[in-house]
Order: sequence, then structure tokens, then C-alpha cells
Amino acid sequence: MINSTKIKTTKQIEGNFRIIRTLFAVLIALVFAFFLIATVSDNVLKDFTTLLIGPLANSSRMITVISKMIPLLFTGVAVSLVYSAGQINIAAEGAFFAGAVAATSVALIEGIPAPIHIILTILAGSVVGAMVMGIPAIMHVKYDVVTIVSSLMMNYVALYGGLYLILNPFRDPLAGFEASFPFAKSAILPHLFGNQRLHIGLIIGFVVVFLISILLYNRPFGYSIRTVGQNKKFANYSGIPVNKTIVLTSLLAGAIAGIGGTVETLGNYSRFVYTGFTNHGWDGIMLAVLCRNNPRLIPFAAFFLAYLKTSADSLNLTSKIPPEIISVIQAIIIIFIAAERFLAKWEHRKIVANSQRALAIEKGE
Amino acid sequence: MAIEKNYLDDIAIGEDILSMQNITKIYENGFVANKNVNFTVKKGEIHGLVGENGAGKTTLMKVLFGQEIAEEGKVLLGGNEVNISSPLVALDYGIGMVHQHFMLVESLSVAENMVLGSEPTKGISFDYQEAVRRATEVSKKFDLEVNPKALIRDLSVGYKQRVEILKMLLHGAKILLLDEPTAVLTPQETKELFIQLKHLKEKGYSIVFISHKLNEVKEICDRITVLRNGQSISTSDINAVTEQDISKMMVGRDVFLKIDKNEPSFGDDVLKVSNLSFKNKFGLYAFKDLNFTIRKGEILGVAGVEGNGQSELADVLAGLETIQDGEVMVNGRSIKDLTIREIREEGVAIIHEDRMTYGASSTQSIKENILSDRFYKDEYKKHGFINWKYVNEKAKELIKSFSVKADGYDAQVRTLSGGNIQKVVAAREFTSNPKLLIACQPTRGIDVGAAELIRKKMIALRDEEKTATLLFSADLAELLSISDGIIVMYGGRITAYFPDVSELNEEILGEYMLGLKTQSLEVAGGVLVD
Repeated sequence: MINSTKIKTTKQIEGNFRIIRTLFAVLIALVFAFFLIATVSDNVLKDFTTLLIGPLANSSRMITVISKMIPLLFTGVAVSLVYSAGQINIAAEGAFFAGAVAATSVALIEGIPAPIHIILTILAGSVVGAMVMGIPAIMHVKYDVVTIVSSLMMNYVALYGGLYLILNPFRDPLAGFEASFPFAKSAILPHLFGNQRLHIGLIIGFVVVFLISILLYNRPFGYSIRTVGQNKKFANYSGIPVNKTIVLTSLLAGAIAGIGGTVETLGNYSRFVYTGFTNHGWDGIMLAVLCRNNPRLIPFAAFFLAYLKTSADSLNLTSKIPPEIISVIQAIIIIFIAAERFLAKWEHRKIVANSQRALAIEKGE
Repeated sequence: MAIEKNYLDDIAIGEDILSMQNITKIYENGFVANKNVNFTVKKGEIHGLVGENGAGKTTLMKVLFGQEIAEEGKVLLGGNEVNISSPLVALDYGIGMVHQHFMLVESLSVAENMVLGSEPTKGISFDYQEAVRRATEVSKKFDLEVNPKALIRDLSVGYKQRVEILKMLLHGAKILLLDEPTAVLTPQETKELFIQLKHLKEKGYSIVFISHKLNEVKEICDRITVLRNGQSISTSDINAVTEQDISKMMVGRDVFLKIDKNEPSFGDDVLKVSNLSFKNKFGLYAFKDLNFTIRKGEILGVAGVEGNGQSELADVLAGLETIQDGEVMVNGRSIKDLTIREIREEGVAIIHEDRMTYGASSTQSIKENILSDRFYKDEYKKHGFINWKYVNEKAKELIKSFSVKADGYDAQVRTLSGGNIQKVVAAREFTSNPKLLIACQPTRGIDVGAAELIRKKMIALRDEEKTATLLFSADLAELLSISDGIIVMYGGRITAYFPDVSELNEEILGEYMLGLKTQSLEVAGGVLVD
């Protein structure tokens, strides 16, 4: 009855606006970055250009981008997954760290054949990571503890518990700095293309993205997760075991973050060297928000963020711009994307105009 | 701004006091609720605004009350164009609205609720005595009796409504908008309301009466305006039209209000409830010692004023609340320790009264809503994955057979109208091969067409699949037309059981619903015996 080529559905307009909103957020953040750079820079244009296209300057920098992207794949997917279940569980940071510590504890053992050793480290990282994100979920369903608070606190348990292990039983007094004993050779992840900074964590990361996307959109359990996330009461009324879904999803998300910590540590370092939060978990939250919890989009967002981080590093080398500028850009993007009502008036006008056009056509016929 | 109210006083009775011209309202989801609507009210009249649910009556009134801003059109008060940007402005202009769902603070007293928005103060503190004085004054002036010190939560629905009306009058409203005021009232309470409204009319107040109950409109209104699909169809003197005319204008075709159904043929007991009691979170009994059974192919109606234990009973039977005391058997099996999924697998289907919270997931698509109770079953899987192709086919079929109006099965449920959302819920619940259907207010707030479809499908389940149905409804006409037997709940107990509805009418039910009459335990207990 209505000419569908001219008239869009409201859903299409809303979809378009999601993209427009994201682009606007990025644009505003970059404008802001420009002015921030202008306040400290001697050569604003040059520095801003470095920020925009710095990583494209040479292949080494592009490899850095890819390398920085690897841990983000894991934490981005982990947070997207747990947010899909409607759980504001922010313990991915702790799960990543604890996963790395657990993997270290296994990686220090000598005499296990390589492939088995790697699998064991990943297993250890995932189990401990699962605990870090799973415990707040269990406390939530059993005792009604607010997840955002308990998971935030869980990060500190993971951080300081892990640091205790690294700085005491695992500490190498001969290292000359705060680090663990060196990992057994058999536990180090194989490198890709003979490049020191690329390791098979990249492949594992893409496999995780693929598997979780399939899980979320094509498996019955994924349907449970999304339904619980959209409307818990409806899910319960329909017979979906809500609490079980929440706990299992959180465990799985924690396991993914834990594997992220494992591959990042065993792929890039010969000992455990972190002395504080790595921020990959927090970045994962940003990526999930940016991708609206859709794991299929995580590689793109992770690449974007890794690119910005690499830019910031090169800015730091070539100018006096501090790399923290990237945190400011990140924060601005998140704020604008999280602002549901941002551009809402424009969107409403579009929808109204569209409906009026549909009305006019209806009348005309 | 008080000048404006006086200005309305100068208008002579029978002249236009309010005129809405070419109002168009489009919601954020693109739904066009009003299209170029024209609506005029004369001073001192009761003007019926009728139309199916979803026709745009409430939206039009919300625009008038400043709760929604129209995209186009203007509002004239006494011939002057006004810009009503919020309910506060509307009140200043002398327009007051009584919503379908009361806007009262349950934990406060009548007087406190009535002065809300213009609270009297003594120094920096609230002047309770003055509030009580004002409430008493307005109550006397309009001859509407209330106890200013009573707490809202202790009052009946009809009483609360009276408080709402007085609240608006206290704030100086000269034009009262009543959104389906009788939907929650028993026949007796409705009569009382009508006396009050006529009284106000005699005092020169103008009243807009929204309803889709034609007999009430005929009884009380002077003129009516019919809305259909968001457009104003006509305005006419009430004496110039018959009920049949109005319903034709509302629906756009002839409506058959009578429903055909086969003679009952009952089978074995499907649901058996014995000595079932339930305490709410405050430790009070929501219902106590309920006993009844429903047989195969039987529709048992539950009548009762809202809040007499019906909601809690439905939730317990659906497994949403645990069984505290007593026994519930479905097909001879106790559901006490079953999960909701297990209860559903016993063949229980539930239409929850809270459609948007429990019945549907508004941010998910139609197909995902239909899938929620069956997605894990083999039929919908292929090699462990959801068979989306099959799901799409099924969803397409159901959208067709339940005539859901939507942009295909991927449309988000929140973009549909109330009636279509309920059709999606029914499309799921009615197609799970239910042995027992618990239907709570299945047609509340939805248009006549959708209600007709849902009622017919319920009858079809009874006749063809021998489904046992427990039907909770506030619509007595609906209860009387589809149920085989009716029980009345009052104060958390079954106070009456009528095995045969043919001797019943709304008046009789009303007396039991208000607790004016109670059957002896032996008669009410007859539900058990049969």
C-alpha cells in the first residue's frame, strides 16, 4: 500500500541514526582532541596529522596496531557477552589480570611438551578468569548483591591477590626488577610470520569472536542470554532459567578475558611484568559500548582503538603531546555514544517527516 | 494565570469552550496517533470521546493536558489560541485530567494527595491542617464525600477516582478529562460516578468522557466524537445516533458482539486447586483457602474488582510465585516443585496481565518474542543451532493467522500498537498446544478487532483442543459471553460460584464483586464438588 522505496521503516531510520551517532561521537572527540593538542603543541597541524594517520607511516607501526588489538579482541568480546545478558559486570579487567597470573603459574613449570603446555596455561587462565567474573554473578543471583559494585571490588581482589603471588612465590630475585621467574620455553606462544610482536593469540582472538558471535545469535543458549538481557521478567515467565543463564554467561565471559590475559602475557613477554592494571578490561567496556554488545563488530572497534593508541605513542615520540590524550578521546566517544538522547530531536524530526510522507501518500492513493 | 480560569467562567453555557484543530501527533517510534483531529467541547456538556483502543483518544487528551506535544495543530480556549506545554500549564488554564491509572501517592493521605502541586505551608514546613481544611472545603462544595485523613492505599478504586476528580477541582479545573473512568469500576460504582458527573455538569463544568462502552456513552453524554485510526470521524448529538451507528463508526464495519460457541463438553479435571493460600511480601493474605477445578474443554471465568487476589493467583498458577500453602495439580501432577519451564511443558500457557513487562520483550523482534517458550525444542533446532529459516517461516505463519499488523517478523515489538502486541503474545501462548490456559485480562486496552480475534481463538482452543481455561477479566460482558462457569473473588476468597452463566448478568456479578452478597460456603464450594 505504501511505496516502500520512498518510505523507510522507523527501524531503518533508527538504525541509520545509530551509525550517525557513532560517527558524530568520533568526530566530536577528534575536534576536541584538535583543541587539546593546540594548547600544548608547537605545530598543531603536524601533530594532529600524526594523530590521524601516524600509524600508516610504516609497516612496523601497523604491526604495532595489530599487536595492540589482540588483547582488546578478548576483553571486548567478554564485556559484550556479559552485557548482552544485561549484567553490568566490570570485572573483565580483573579477570584479564588474574588469567595472566594463573597462566604464569603454569608457565613456570618446566618439562611439559609445548602444545600441551600452552593448552594448560590457557586452561588455567580461563578457569581463574571465569572465577573472577563468575563470583559477582553468583553473589548477585544468590544474595542480590549489586553486580557493578561487587565486580568492581573483584578487580582489586584479582589485582592484589595476583600481585602477591607474582611478588612473593613467583618473584625472580635476580631479575633486577619486579617480575616473575622466566616462563618455560614450551609455554611461550608461537609467533606469526616470524614477527616478534605477532603471536597466535591473534588467531585465537578471531576464533573467539567467531564462536561467541555464533553462540549469541545462532545457538539456543545465546537466545537465552539476549532475552535475559533484554527483559529478565519476560525471560523468566517464558521458562528460561534466568539465574543459570546469568551465571554461565559471566563465567564464560570471565574465561574469555582470562584467556586474553594468558595470550597477551605468553605471546609478548618472557616473564610476568605487570605491576598494576593493564586497562585492557576497561577498554573492553568501551568497545562493548561502541559495538552495542555485538561481538561481530569488536574486531573493527578493537582495530580503531589500537590505531588511536599507536597514534598516541607516535605522537609522544615526535612531540610533547602526552599519550593520555587518547584516554580523553575515548572518554568523549563513550559519553556521546552512551547518551541515548544525543541527536534525538533530529531523529524524531526525521521519523515525523517520514511518517507524514507516508500519510500523504496514503491519502493520495 | 488565574485570569484565564475566570475568563472561562464568562463563556455562556452551550458555547464552545474548547476547540482542538487539526491536531497531528507522531510518536518517537513513528506511530501516528492523531491525524488532523478536530474536537470541540461546549461549556456545560458531557462530551463522549469514543473509539477503539488505539484510536488515539488518550493521545488527544494527553495533548490537551500538555503531557504530549502535538507536531501540528492548535488548541483554542474560549476562542483564544493557547500553548499548553505541560500539565502545570493545562491546570493553570483550567484543564484537569483523571488518568486511567490514578496519579496518586499510595502512602499519603487523601488531603495530602489533593494539594500536591500547590502545597500549603506554615513557615518552611507543610501545613497538614490547612491541607485537610482545603480538602474538606472542596469536598463539601461539590458534595463529593471523602475522608481527608484516610490513606490512599486503604481506599477502593471508586473512592480513589473520587479523590482524583476532587484533586483536579481543587486545582481549579473547569474542563475535566476523564480517561476511561468506568474501566475499573463495578456497575454500582459507575452509577454513583454518573450521578456525580451530572452534578458537575449542572454547575457549568465541561467534561470529556472517554469510553468504548457504548451503553454508558448513550446514558451520560450530550454529544459524542468518534475517533478511528487516529482520525476524527464525526461529532454528533447523542440522540441522533444509535449504539449500532456508533460501533459502526468506531470500527468502520458492522460488528457482531455475540460470539458463537459449541455446547460445552467437559472432560477430566485439568487444574485442581486445593486449599491454596498466599501471603504477599507484607505478610498479608492475598488469597486464602481457594478450592476449584477446571475440566477439559471448560472456560472458568474469574470476576472480581482488581486487587482481590486475582493477580497473585495467576502468578502462583504460572509458577512466577511459589506455592506457600495448599496444592495445585495440573493433569494430576503437583506443580509445587516444578520450574516455570517444567510447568509450561505440562501444557500450561499464560497470558500475563502485564503485557509489556512479562508478556513480551519490547526491544526484541516479533519472531524472538514468539520463540521464547520453545526455542530450545528440537523442532526449532538444526544440528544444535537455532533454525532461523524455520523460525521465520513459523513466525510468518503466525503473523498471518493472528493478523498482526507489522513490518514483518523482524519488527521490534515496541513499535506495534497494544492490540498487535497482545496478538503476538497470543500467537505464542495459543500455539503451544496448551492443556491449561491462564488468561489474565487478555483483551484489556486493545482494540475491538484484536479483542474479537483473541476471544474467538480462546473459544477455538476450548472447542477444538479441549483446552481448560481460567479467564481473569475486568470486562464483565466478556466474562459472561465466553465463560462456561464463573467464580467471584472478593477479599482473597471465592465468594460465589455460578456453574452456568446463562442465568447471570452484570448486576448480579457486581453485587458479589463488591462484597454486598456472598454465597454460603456450600454453594461457593460447589466448584470443588463438580
